[in-house]
Amino acid sequence: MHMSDALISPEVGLSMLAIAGGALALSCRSCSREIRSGENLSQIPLMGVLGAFVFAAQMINFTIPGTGSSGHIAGALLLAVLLGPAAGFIVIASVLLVQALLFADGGLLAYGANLFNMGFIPCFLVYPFLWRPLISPNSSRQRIVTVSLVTGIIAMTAGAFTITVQTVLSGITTLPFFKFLMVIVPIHILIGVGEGLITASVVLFTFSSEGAELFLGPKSKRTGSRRTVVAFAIAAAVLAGMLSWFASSNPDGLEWSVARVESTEEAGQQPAADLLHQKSAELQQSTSLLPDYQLGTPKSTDSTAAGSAISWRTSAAGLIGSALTLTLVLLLAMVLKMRQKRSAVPLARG
Amino acid sequence: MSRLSSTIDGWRSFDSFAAEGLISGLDPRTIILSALCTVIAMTGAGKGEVMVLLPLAAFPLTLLVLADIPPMWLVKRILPVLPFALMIGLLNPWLEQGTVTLPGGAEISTGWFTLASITLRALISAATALLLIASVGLLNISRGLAGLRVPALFITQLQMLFRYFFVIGEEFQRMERAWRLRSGSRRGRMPLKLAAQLLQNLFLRSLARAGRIHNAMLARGFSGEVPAGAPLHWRLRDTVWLAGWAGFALLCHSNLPMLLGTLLTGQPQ
Amino acid sequence: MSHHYLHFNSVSFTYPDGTKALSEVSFEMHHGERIGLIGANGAGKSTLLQLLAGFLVAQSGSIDLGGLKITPSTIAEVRRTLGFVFQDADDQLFMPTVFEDVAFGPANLGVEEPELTPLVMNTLNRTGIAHLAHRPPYHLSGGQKRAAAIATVLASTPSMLVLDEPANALDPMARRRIIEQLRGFTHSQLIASHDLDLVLDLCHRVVVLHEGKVAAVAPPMTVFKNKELLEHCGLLPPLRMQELPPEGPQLKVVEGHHHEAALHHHTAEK
Repeated sequence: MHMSDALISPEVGLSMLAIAGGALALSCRSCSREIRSGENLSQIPLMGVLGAFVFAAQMINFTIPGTGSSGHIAGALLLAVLLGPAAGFIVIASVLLVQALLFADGGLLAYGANLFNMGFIPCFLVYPFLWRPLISPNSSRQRIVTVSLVTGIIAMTAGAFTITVQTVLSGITTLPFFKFLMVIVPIHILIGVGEGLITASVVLFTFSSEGAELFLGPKSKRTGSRRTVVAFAIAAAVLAGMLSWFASSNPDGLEWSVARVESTEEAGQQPAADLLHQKSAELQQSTSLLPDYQLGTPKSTDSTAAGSAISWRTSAAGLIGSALTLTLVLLLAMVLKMRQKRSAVPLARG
Repeated sequence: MSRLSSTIDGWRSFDSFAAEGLISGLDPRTIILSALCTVIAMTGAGKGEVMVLLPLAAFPLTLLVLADIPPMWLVKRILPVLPFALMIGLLNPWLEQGTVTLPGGAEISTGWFTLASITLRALISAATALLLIASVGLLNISRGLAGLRVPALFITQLQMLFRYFFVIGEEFQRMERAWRLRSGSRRGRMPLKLAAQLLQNLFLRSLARAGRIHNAMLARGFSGEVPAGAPLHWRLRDTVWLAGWAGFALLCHSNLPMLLGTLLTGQPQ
Repeated sequence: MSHHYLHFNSVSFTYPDGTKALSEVSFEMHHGERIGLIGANGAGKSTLLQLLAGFLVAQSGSIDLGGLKITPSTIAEVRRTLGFVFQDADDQLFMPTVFEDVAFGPANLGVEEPELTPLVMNTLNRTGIAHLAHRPPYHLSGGQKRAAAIATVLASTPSMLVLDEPANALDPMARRRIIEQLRGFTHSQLIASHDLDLVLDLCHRVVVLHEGKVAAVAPPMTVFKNKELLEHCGLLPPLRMQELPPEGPQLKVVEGHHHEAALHHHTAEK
């Protein structure tokens, strides 16, 4: 499942974007070095075509045996096995970006979080530390299926766990951490079953048709170890930094529970947003048309959530104001549009 | 129609708007960055905030108007996003304990505001993403990303993905259609075993195709460097556009609508 | 340099799985000549083209192109003189737009910007698709894709074109256009095709392959009139040369009492 823009806060979104983006930049560097050196020229079409393959494969809903529910492949583990972790990560990053744009799966700001949950974890944690060490060129079919199934489930569950952490840290929804986890994990275990089985079947098939050595040679082992440990360490450090930042400014972020969502505590939340608010409030003070003017009782954007009874007059004023703003901008767009029609200059490129 | 077929057709339709309209006269980087500003301002709004969010819908709607995209096109694509937002936000009216007093004197939970806020967020972010690519086009998005210093290999990968999704997707579509014609089920899921076989088959074809493309590249002297596309030009109108939207996002964030509204209704409290 | 341009000298190739694809294949081709390469499925046409482009390496025999022996060390130079048009244009058009695809070859050969754009546009004009320059390949029709694929190789200014099924899956108009275009080029051309009408239209000579061996090298008319040869190689003469069967289904008159005509009548009513 995709983490959504609707549930993410800018600080979580941007930190995840930084981590995933960094991992992507490093992966691109190591892959393009290999391609440029001429030792891996076939990698470019292979990555492109397999990306298209995974994208198309995701459209197939299949029944997960014994459950009656359906799922589709996410593909990152498979890509890591077939292309190596770095190239696999690049491919899944391209697939997720297109999904974010074409289906609004996730969103622009949540892209980093999604790439971390669905790309980084399977490619840089599950594949090099679990799948690869457990499989050798003469592993039995049974073993490949079992390992793929188990690692598929682990990858999905870990992803579900990080989704929960990201959502709760963002603090847009009030769902408590453990309840959220209880809802989301079982679904992802099921998805993991499908993921694991499909991965196993395609891997087995490929190994038998193309030869396992191609994918399990010493080269793939090398790329699967040291570099990923370093990448992992960096990511862990950034993540830890981020978490501690939150922990200090938002003490109940992780243990958010129903009981705690009370008006008094609420006001102190959303740390970085507060920072932005503070800035914008300053700006507002300095640019305000009516300097002595007071917004609704508990000032700041948290007012509606703040629980204290808010006068409907304030809300009505706000609603009218936002509708007005929206209308004004759209009118402007219409005017631009008319001008564009009138001038009718073909703006075609090239 | 299966999801795959509708995706392929949808993908084609995405590209058909991009060629015309004011948007194509702008640098794709401008649109990407202004979309990001909007989304960041949106996510930065407080938890139960509705008023700050509403005006932000102006960004996607402006794209819609300027790129001449039929509103129904957007509505059809945006609806699937709603259930997810509702599912996440639906418990909030009962989970939250704060209240808001309504005109009649009735009090409702602040959770309703949270629910409305989450729904609005989902709609705005989805509309922004969909309209970003619809108004700019697949190709120009990747150009814009390249202009924003995204690594060349990733851009090549994106472009290859666009390019071969049609080829592989259509191959898959034929196989899936053959299955549907014989299985009698027009919609619905596939047994896992069959899905696995289908994917194996498609995978093998994809591998073979990658080999042929590789040959075609070699035959034309490929040595590891994919030539870059045409360079982008940042012009004054790009600066105006970006500054305008960034400023707008900031103003919305600092509660401009409330200010406007109070001015208008004369409710200085 | 020899008087002929391309020379296959008893070339044999066996795939790693033991399939013998070509054995002792020899023929030669002159400057500016168009040669059709025909044969049933599995006769070895594809293998022969792959050897020529250096994607495969022959176990024995030699191939000379313009006086240069094709070996792994000369292959870069060979590919520069060879324009290879693949059977599936989707394999050949891998760049995001037609323009960039056509520019790919020359750019790899070191052509740079002030010269590159005019070269590309010029090539696109020659193949009649300049108006498609900035379209992505997935928006093109089959015929346009084929024309674009040909443009991509022409842009590298090859001296010889190798075409694998150039008119495959094209509608009659597009097929006609491609044939006329190919006829207009002065390049030496090696055209592998099942479309014997196309071969008859275009080629000066044909090389007939049968089970990996050269069964005949002769002008198309001579080959297509030789029924035993064609039958032996699993081929049929071009449609144009096939005599119409004495009593065919070419019923033009619809008459109630003829049962076939009645059938037509019946379906028409539906």
